[in-house]
Amino acid sequence: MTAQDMQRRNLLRWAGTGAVATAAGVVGLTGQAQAAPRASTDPRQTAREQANKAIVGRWFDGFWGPTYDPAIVEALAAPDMLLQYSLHVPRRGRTDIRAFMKDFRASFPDLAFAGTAPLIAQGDLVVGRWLGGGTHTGAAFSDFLLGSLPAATGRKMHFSGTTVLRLAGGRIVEEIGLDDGVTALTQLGLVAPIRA
Amino acid sequence: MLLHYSLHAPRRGRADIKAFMAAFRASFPDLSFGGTAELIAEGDSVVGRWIGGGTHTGAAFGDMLAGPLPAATGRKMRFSGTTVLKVINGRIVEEVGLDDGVTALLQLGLLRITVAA
Repeated sequence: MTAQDMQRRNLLRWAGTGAVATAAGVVGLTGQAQAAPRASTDPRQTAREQANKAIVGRWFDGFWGPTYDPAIVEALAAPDMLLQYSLHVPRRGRTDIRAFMKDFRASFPDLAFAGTAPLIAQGDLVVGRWLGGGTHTGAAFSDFLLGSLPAATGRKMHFSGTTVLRLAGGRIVEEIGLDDGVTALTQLGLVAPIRA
Repeated sequence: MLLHYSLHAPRRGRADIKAFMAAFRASFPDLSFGGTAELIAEGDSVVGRWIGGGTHTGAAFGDMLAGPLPAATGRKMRFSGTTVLKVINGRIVEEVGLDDGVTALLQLGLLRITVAA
């Protein structure tokens, strides 16, 4: 997904060039501030909470955004980080997490997710809401809990989700997300409705 | 108030929200959800994580987007979810939740797994 596509769809880049947080607290590129939902930043928020949101913004852009740099895992993931999304097998540790994303993008080369609302932070926790997906033009994919895809089915998935991340010492310790699996798996042909 | 969960049609306003819950409990009389972690709040937003469900011993249920249930199927659903609420002046103006719909709909027999070749 290009930056232009994201803007057209009212999506936010989480961090990115220059503007992690504007004065209004909107997380995203300055140029897209008008597309952003109303900021929810509490003025009493601590510096740590603001810093955690900036880290999660960089993570969502660099790990889940249209371009993936594996170095982001070394930079922002705690060594024993847990990555757990409802569609996928849980992963633990940097090597496992890099393997997850390498395989995901080998199967869905145009994979990209982006924010749909400002991040919400309290204490060690940050919550992100997002939308995205990709086209299965690549390798066979066997990381979905409910079924495997043979190579290059050409199917597209586009779905939303909500993720809660826990940080400690400036690194992500836990990322637990709920995918709209009904949408994604129906689009991929891995589940089908039963009509009474 | 807007009430919008991924399994259900969105509802707007008190009368519509009362109608939603009356119908949901008429179909699932033991319906019950509880929190699984502390609430997360910033500004006007509050995030809750929860688990729960119920047994379909009651009326036919037509409010699942995935399809209708005839009366008293006896099926049980138990699933988790994450909800973001917006609170203004001490009242909830928006409640938008993502259900683990795959779990719920498989349990209710409204969804099936297609084994890919």
